[in-house]
Amino acid sequence: MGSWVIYMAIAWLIILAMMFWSIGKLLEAEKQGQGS
Amino acid sequence: MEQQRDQWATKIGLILAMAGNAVGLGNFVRFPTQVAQHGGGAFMVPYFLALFLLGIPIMWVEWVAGRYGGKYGHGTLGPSYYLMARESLKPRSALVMGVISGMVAFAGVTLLNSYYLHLIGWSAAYTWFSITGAYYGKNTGQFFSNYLSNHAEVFLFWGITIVTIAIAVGRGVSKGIEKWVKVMMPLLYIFAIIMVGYVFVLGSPINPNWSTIDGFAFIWTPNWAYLKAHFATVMLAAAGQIFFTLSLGMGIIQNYASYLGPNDDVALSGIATVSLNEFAEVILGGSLAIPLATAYAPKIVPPDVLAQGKNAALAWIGQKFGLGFAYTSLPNVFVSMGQIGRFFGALWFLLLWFAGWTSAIAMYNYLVALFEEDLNIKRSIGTWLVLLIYFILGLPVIYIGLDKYVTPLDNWISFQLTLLALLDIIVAVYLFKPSNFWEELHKGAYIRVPTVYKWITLIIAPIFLLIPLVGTFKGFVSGGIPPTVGAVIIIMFIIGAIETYFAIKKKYGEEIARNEVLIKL
Repeated sequence: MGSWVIYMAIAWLIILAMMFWSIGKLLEAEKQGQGS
Repeated sequence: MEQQRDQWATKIGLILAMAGNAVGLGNFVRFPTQVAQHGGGAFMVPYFLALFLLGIPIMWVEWVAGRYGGKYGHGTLGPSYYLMARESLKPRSALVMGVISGMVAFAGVTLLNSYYLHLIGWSAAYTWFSITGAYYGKNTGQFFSNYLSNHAEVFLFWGITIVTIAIAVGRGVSKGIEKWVKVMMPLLYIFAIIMVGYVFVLGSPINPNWSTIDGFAFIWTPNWAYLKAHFATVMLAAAGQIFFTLSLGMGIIQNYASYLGPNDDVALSGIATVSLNEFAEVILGGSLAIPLATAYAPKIVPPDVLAQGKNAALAWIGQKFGLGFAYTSLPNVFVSMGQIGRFFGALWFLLLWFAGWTSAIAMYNYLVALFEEDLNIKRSIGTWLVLLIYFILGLPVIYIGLDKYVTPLDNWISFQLTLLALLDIIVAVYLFKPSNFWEELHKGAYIRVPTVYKWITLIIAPIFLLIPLVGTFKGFVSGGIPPTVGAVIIIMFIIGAIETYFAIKKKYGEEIARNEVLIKL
């Protein structure tokens, strides 16, 4: 295993974090009826 | 002069539709092809830069532009961008910007879908081939080539695809898309996650020197030497892939966002769409076709190329089969499962077919909206008119083929999507005025966008877009595009320009004639 594993892990983590954060936030906002 | 249009029933329904539109063959078919063609880890460096410096800001720009246009009854780019440009320009100059933007969007949507619909047709065909076990015991590369040379078969699966899309579009936006996407989208994600797990443990199925893990190393080892040697080309490919996969630079995000209410969030929705798609692309799409192509390369690639190593073998598959890359590698994994693989193969390709199908609906819908809203052509007639356009444009894909038509057209599409992204920033940010853009972005927003993104959108993104555009333009005009492809591109640009001109003139003709704003917003 080379350093590529680290690059892959970082990239995957960033994407997963972004996805869970944005969907979670969206559902939360939807529930509270914010925005419009 | 705000106008009431149909709006999305729920926020999550819209997000799923947007994600369904973004998640498609771009992730599982085009992404691995681009990675293989552009040096693996060399591609991933600009790809990630493009994601954060172009993908996210342009997504916001297009959502804002779409919602803004929708407020005034426009779901297409020409009239929306005319209105936005009018904030800084006199009506006649704004008309020019509107026509240029609408023209590029029209050409993009028609040209891209002309071969994208074929990729969907290939997925339909491979669903059938999985059921019948047609590729079992065969060289999957040779099998794919044989399939493409069987024109009647290609025609049949492509025909089924475009007719079913036309029927779905004819039924209208919310009804036609929302309910289907809600069922099929999660299924695709779940199945892809299971497949990725299988690929990780598959190891070296036919030769101990060629494993799926080597494929991951190819993608994730930065290849600086390759990037340096092919800088502008790899940059364009990376930016083009980001736009392709996020459905940016085509006018269709604006079309979807035009169905939003004037105070619906776009800031968080934009990020949610991007991240859902990137999950499907990088984590799922990046873990299937390339690792599998690496493990099964000894079966597909000639011995002399194999002897040059893994990078050369993957580049060879990418060049030889182009967008067929995934279709030559994925079937092997189902073969490795034995007879039950026929069921899983059929399910996989059917889901892939559906993913492409929903994305194609978005593009199809854009053109129908264009005929309906811009030219007052009834939706039912517009639907069949679009079918006719796609039928004509799809024929060269079958009869001229992959090397001479699809691959050069696909390369051009990267250029054109990047060009429209630049126009997005010029019109929907600079001419619309950056302060207006920023204010619109935060109207009804669930999040506060960091100010750094204002500067990324205003300064860094345009530079990032200009570098590959300037760097590759010469290559395109000096023989990079075969004459047939060039002729089709020019024809689509001309039709797009004429259509957009009349669309804008129809509503704003008087003020354009007098060159002063009469219709106040």
